[in-house]
Amino acid sequence: MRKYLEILSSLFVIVFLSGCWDSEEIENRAFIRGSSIDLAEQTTKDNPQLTLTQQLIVPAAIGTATTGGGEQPAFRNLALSGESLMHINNEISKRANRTLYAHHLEVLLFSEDVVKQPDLFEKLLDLFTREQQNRRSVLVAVTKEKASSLLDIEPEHIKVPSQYISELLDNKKSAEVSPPLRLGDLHEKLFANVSFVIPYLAIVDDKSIENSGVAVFNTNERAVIGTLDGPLTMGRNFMTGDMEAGNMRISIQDAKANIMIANVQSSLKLTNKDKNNLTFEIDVNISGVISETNSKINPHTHLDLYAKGLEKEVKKLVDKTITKAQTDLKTDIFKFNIYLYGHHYKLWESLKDEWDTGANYFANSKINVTVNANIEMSGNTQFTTQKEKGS
Amino acid sequence: MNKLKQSNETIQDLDIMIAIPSVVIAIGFLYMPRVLAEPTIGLDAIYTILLGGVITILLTWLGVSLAIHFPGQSFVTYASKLVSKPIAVALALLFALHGILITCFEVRAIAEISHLYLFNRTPIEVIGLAFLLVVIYAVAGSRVAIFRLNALFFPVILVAIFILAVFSLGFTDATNAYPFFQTDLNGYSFATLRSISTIGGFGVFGYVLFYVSLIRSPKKTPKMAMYGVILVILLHLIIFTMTLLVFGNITTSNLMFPVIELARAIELPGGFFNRFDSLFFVVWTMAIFNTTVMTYDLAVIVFQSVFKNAKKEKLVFLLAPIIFFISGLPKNTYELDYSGRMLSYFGITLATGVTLLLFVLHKVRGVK
Repeated sequence: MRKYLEILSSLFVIVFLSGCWDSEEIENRAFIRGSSIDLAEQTTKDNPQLTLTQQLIVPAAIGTATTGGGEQPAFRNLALSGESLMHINNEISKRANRTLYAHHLEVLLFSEDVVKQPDLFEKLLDLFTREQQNRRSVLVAVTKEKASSLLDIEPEHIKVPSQYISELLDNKKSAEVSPPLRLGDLHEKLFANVSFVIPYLAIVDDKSIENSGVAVFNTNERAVIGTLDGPLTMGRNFMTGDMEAGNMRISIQDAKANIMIANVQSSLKLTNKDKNNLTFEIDVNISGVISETNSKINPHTHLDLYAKGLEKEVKKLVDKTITKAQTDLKTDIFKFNIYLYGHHYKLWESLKDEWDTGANYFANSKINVTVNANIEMSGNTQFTTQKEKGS
Repeated sequence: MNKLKQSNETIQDLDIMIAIPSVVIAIGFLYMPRVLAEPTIGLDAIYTILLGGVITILLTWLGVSLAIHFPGQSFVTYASKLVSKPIAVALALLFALHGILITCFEVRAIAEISHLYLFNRTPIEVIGLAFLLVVIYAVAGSRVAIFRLNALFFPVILVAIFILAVFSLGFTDATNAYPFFQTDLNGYSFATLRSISTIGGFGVFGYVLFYVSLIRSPKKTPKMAMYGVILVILLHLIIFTMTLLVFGNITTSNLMFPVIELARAIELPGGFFNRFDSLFFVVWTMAIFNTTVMTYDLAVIVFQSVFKNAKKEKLVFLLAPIIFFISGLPKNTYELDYSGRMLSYFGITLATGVTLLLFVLHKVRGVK
């Protein structure tokens, strides 16, 4: 009897040992690669309605390196409107034949209309930081057009638009873009109550998207209050040092030249700590290489000339950016807030509530920028082919 | 035969050094950065970790150096000489209660976290039961084997923490380190208390009073125990600093399990390791297994020394349903959190109180 009981009970244990309560075949999962959020047409003033678009991967159409995919698109966009994202998501799953699976979500796009609504942006983000499936490394961007239309842009070489967008956001070759903004960073900035910039995407044609400029989020308005175009974003990046590479068109005595920027380092100091006369000193050190010139002067022996030209050009751009930030946007886009929090905590505590709103200490502060440029080399050639006789 | 068995039931000094971090590092470690970042500003909690760590080292050292005066004697035996038998038994039973409750807490917490991140559909009770069954299996066997398991698993846990720290380097932001020294006194004292609680592992450092008697020739035991606590402090410092540098103070204090989020933040190139958190969960389950087995076993030790005739297996199997029942009591994660906090206060008070009481009495009375 006892023996039978033992056998029976061990058979019973098998139920627990199999461990497949949560098993889900990979074939039955629908991977979401990108999501976009727009304002729906039914939106009224007090009751914003949203459209959520989920881009699902169609694995069969992606194919492997050797077999290649078929002709059909490798993605499927499902869109629905409603009041809350989670609710819409549930509605969408009714239309998907597989279980929606967000672990591999890579990009999250918000159209400009959505982020310009006060408070709405962070309400929407709550789902993405609270839900266990989502990761903090998802890249976030604001789009000029309807965000869902970006998920339809299909370039020739990449089969899934969201993959194209995430690679675009990660590309650091241009100086006119914001560094990629991860969902986690965004969450941190919203908690820390500081203004910041978000990458800004715009459609160029039906095969390409441009990553240029930034959207500016003001922490007191709790919304995006404006944008910076590409050149001004570059000006901002010079000041914050958020730049890995870039190009700058400069003028020298007789001609135009192009400098490829190799390295930018900036240091920030607060020199006047009086609340009403805050003065910031920024040192920007740039090193670059001449990439193009049509001057008739030997560039190799006149590198200083180019350095001067670059300094002048950068200074002009930076001043333009400061004016835009202080008079037009009235928002701290230079990360002074983070600097003050870290290095002048007491001062920051006393003025943070009116930093870039109300009394706006930011807009009234003085920002002095010193630019030092160094041209490392003149490139592989010396003169242009049109060199002056006798020089 | 009997003699052989007896001689096998001993451990080395080194085992204590490994056992201390193994038993201390568990669930509390996963949310440690949150509770330390909450009352402080910037990276200031580092100082409280150091201060709390020194206090814990001191207490552990006191406990061990008391216990090595009575080699081979169980807690109840030597405590009886110091505080009379009924009080000694009562104190031991309090420790047993603490061990049982910690076991319940850990079982429930690992089930809760696995449910949250891994098994959305498997009921929490089932995950908890599956885990508890494995724990029972380990506890029902030889006590020395538990220490061997500790020694086996601990390097894996160390490596996992090391990988976590190294790979999160790429996600750190130096600005998160500032400002320095802006926390007020209130914040510091609060964070120190919490540091003692997490470094002392909810009071489990007091368990050395029981386990030292297993060491055959305790000579370097106080030193080894000290190294064990230092290891715990180092791991706390590393993970706290990395978490803060990656997320910043304000976000860290808002994340439920900052260390899990840190593991999820890491993305390595290449398919398999791209998702480091899945590996991290496996390793952490091992860490919690170590803790749970030790705390469960402590309760068994106490009951063995109180009820001398009872068979070990019987005690283990009697405790199991009680533990499973209590672990199901908290209604939600908030209640679980709250019971964890209460348990920590209880444990710290008990371990500190008993260690100091016995140590002072031993010095005053000079019992051999």
